[in-house]
Amino acid sequence: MNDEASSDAELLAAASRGDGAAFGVLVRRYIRAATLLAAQLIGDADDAEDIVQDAFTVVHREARAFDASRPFGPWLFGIVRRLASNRRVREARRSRLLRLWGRHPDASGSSLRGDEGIVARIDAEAAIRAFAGLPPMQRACFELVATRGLSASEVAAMHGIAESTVRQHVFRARAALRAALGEDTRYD
Amino acid sequence: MIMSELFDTRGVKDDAEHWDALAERVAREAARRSRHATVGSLAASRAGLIAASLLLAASLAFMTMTWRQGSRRPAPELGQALAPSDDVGRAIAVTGGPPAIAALLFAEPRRVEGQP
Repeated sequence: MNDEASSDAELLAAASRGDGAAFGVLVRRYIRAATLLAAQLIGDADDAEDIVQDAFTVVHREARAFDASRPFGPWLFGIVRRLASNRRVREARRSRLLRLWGRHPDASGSSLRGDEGIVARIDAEAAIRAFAGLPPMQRACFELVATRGLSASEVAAMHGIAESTVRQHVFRARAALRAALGEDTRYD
Repeated sequence: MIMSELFDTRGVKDDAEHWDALAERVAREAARRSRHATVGSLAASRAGLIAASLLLAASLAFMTMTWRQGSRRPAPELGQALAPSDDVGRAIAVTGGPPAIAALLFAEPRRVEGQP
């Protein structure tokens, strides 16, 4: 089997029969999108990789049960979202307990702080402020499409929303950023 | 499911070598964990335990039956040596069943020493 040209369903079927190379190709095909999604949901790159690891473990274990008539991507991203949600619930509980014990230094968790290389520039600072001020889903879609180069359909599958919604989020985010940075948006 | 809070991804390295290495590690580890989980769940689940118990019981029963049969049936050489001298007794001892009636009817009478 030519692994690179095979469909996701073919690769998964081969993986369920013990074909490690086919599973490797499938993982390589989706790992970037899955990790970026997990990072958006969790806010930490290392935790995101842990979640992706767990997600692909579930995929490998459940490969036989996968319905080949359905697309693989949304299934994988659904697993990533569920695992991320579980982890956030656990983390929130843990952080609540630590706060109660008075040992938690900061529970805000935003990964936007502390990027010295960028905030040194005033323009970049303003951009970051504007970016941080966007609604969460606008920010997430804009980042994946505009700075990570993913397509709207990929982002739609990742976040489980319609492709048109992704495009709308990106459009609004772009307009809001331009407005915040003082650019003319009349011709967008 | 849409989460209310979403983070940026600036902490994520985005170059091909990184993704290649991560994919290789993730694929290898996922396969290993998945196999481990399958064996573990088989051992931990009630169905797995029942299946293992049944298999063990069947093995023990089979071993006991073969051992008993082996102890009941003497070795063929021993059977021949201990078989009675008459045809009926010999047939029963050697073949494990009575001789055919025809063989009894048409067989020549065995001569016994000292008798005409």
